[in-house]
Amino acid sequence: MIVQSVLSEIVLAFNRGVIYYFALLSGVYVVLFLVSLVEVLRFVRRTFFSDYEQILKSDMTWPVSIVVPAHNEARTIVETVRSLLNVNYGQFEVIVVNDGSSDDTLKQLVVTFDLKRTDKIYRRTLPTGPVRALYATLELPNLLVVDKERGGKAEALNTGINVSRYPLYCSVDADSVIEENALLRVVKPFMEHPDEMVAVGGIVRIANGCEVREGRVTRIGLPKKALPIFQVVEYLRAFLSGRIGWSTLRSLLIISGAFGLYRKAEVIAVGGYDRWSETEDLELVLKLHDHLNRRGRPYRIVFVPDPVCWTEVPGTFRVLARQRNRWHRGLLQSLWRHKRMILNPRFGVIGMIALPYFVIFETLGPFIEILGYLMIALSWWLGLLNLDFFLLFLIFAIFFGVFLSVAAVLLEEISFRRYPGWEHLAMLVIVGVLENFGYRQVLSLFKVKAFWDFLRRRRAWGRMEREGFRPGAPPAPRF
Amino acid sequence: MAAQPARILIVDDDPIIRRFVGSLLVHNGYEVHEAEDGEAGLHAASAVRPALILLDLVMPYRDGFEVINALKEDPATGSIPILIVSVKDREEDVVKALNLGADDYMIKPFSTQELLARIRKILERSS
Amino acid sequence: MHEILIRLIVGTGLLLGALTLLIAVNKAAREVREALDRRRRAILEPAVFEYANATGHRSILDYLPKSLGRRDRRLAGAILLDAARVVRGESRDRITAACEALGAVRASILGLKSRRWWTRAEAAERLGLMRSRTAVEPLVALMSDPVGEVRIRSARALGIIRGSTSIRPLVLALTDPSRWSAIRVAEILIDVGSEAVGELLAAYDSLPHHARVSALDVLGRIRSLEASGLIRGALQDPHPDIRARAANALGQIGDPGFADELVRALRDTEWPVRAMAAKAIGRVGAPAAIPPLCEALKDRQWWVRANAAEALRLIGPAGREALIRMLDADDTFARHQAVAQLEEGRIIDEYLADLTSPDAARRDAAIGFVEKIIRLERVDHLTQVAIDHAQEGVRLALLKILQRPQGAS
Repeated sequence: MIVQSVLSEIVLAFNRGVIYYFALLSGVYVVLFLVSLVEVLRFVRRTFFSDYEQILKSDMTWPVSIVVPAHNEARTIVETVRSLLNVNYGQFEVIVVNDGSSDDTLKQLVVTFDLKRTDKIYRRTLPTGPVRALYATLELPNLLVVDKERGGKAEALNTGINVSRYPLYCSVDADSVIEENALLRVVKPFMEHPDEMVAVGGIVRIANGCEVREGRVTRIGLPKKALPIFQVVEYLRAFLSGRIGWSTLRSLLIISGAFGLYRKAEVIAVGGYDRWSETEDLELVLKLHDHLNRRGRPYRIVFVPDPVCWTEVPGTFRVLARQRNRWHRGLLQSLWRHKRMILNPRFGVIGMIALPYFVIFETLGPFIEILGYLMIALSWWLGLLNLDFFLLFLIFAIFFGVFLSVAAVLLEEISFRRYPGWEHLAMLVIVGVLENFGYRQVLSLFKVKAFWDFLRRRRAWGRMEREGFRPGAPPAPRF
Repeated sequence: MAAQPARILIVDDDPIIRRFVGSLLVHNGYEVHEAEDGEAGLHAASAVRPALILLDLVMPYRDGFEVINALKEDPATGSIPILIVSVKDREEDVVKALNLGADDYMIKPFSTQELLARIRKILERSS
Repeated sequence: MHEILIRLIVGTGLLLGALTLLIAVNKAAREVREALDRRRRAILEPAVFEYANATGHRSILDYLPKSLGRRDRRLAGAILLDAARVVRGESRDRITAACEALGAVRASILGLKSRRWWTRAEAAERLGLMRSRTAVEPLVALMSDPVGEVRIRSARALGIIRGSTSIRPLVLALTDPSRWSAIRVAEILIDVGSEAVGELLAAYDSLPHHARVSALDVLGRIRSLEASGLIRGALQDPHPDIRARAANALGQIGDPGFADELVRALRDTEWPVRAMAAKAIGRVGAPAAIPPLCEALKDRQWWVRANAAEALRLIGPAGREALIRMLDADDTFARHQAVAQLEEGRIIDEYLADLTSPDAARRDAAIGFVEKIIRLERVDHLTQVAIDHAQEGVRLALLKILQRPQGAS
């Protein structure tokens, strides 16, 4: 009896806690959404007549080194490089780092572009593994291919940084399809705040279901398979409602590895990308925040609410599971490594708001959610369950979830309108409803498992099998 | 002698240019065909066999330089004169285009009277 | 508790419904509007284009249908502006006249007074495209607008229209608090060209630091000899940014008389100044600068070395020989920079042609040259040439040298 009453107390207290937790989380989401809404409206107005032509022609525009780490991308690397060479920008170079591919990625490049070995020397500012050779040709002076032994994406990026000439570098995934004006869009913040800007990210869109021709998206469509469609809505929420909000609040923690523009000097100052991290781009941004806050000078890391690239997302459950597992483990690794920043006023908004958010809601959240379901079962068994209340709460939670998703679709509709058809809109709204009935819960389960794996220090680096138009092996982009 | 009106092919990804220049040419007695990118331009060139091609340089998929190359390599289209009309105003671009085989080069924004005069000149030379 | 929840649910439900409705209505309205516009445009556009391409004095109103609603007028104005972006010359003037005849200019000038900043900005942009002189005064007034976007679009419009009274406000706009706006104003002034020089010179001393930097850039890009006095003075400015830009500007103007000062700037303590000085010397072309340039090849900073190497190449035969001499320099980076420049400038290929020269002295010089490069371990390019070169004699000679074991002479 005592056990039962004690248990009852615990369950009730827990339930109450969950309600407060949920209320707090909802509040955060609403705030983020409102902030994002304002920012998107402002942004859309400001770029009505775009300045991009001016940036393109201006002599003062900073030159950019585009760094593309590539591992076993033989099928599409030529297409990707070609579209990068044709990107709409003034002065730039394209550096492809062949990360010890076992297929003929390198050969494709050398043969197609008629490259020759060259002995360009450079300072090995960041430590990397052995570089086998560099290839270039006088006909295409802004293309450079680096052939190195397999060392992973982080090392490949570091190698690209070492070899690059310009003060800004842009990391691009080999399988991303870049929008024509992408560079112009992400360099604009650097032009506006040349002293403070350190890194800029943009919106990543999902390429599944789009027609891609010669490295450009020709027709936009929604994916055919269910899983990717859920991810479309998820990405919309994450980018439009989430990251823009965080960026406006000066607490952007994540810039997608698929596309990001960075100031080289600062990245070198924090030691570049880390081999041990599962999500080296997240770790880099955290390191930058760490270092720049300690240095004390004002700085900015922002997100332009502008679509910059398209990338393919997992179409099967298994691959999705592996991807999310890696993302979450990487997040936990980085949070752990930089734990002294959490709730440390020295690190400003990042330390006091963004990081605690990630700990409380992203890290603990899944546990609380799963535990919540268990508690519901327990409550019912103990006879504590107030069915009415429970149902009402459930309905409210679902409505709220749907509200957030539909709000993100609205943001998309009033700003970028990349999905033009009515059928797209209808599908997105429907999926926005459906995702609350299983998809989100499954994602939480992934996170719980990831936490467990993190504790056990599993270092599985699964290979993502790709389907559709881009078979290959490199890791998927993350947000 | 009013023979058949000369056929001119406009290859440009900007629809305004296509319609504007199209209108100009039609009102000056030419027959106008349009293509919206390099690929379409090449198909149209061999299908229509125009007397002159107005070609933009900055286009997606295949830029103007590639199109010039392709046109010159194909014996069916190799002798069609090409007049470049492009925003690119750098010396290197003009020289490159002319070296690749273009007959003339005009920079956008252009003067319509000048465009007409140059077209007339090229057509006279090639007939 | 129940009460609250029920109210929350109903509230969220309503919001949700409202949102979905909003999306749907917004989309539908937009599509209808666009469809209507497209249909109207299909009728108006050919007429407008015909007017623009025609010659003569008939007003645009003669070309358009008799009864023009307000929507049609606005559409016709938009079509005119589309055409304005691609033409110049007589057609452009006709477009300006048409905009005035349609009342579009007047409407936009009124729009400059709107309370919403994006309306003002759009109006300014349109006035620039319309190029009507009557807009100059109101645009000048808008240069002190509180919103940056409005200021910059007014500046751009003024730069296009170019009344005599618009230059001064543009120069003052170089002081705009937004750095990017200041850059754009600089570009506008460059487009204006030599008309802007007088005002720039007059205003320079009163400009704050970053505006001075922009002013120097503009003067250099305009290539104004008139400004060289001021720019030379700026080479001595205490601030390194200004010295660097001054050096760059002198290079763009290109007068060989600047050589001495630029050589002195090559020894500046700050590397951006040295880099710009090296670049400028290359543009100015001064053989007396060759020894200091060779020194600059050993600079710690890549940009300085690269610019110095390029300058040597651009100076002419004497500079190229200096580059070849630098192949023996004691500094690694200098040697490699020299080779890189020789490769990129294809000078190596020219010397390689001498391998088959009937003149023994030139042949020996070429062989020695190749050996130097081999000692520097830059054989990749040579190997490639040994395969690719058009002349078989050169290929064979090169292969022979390449295959010699290291150390043999």
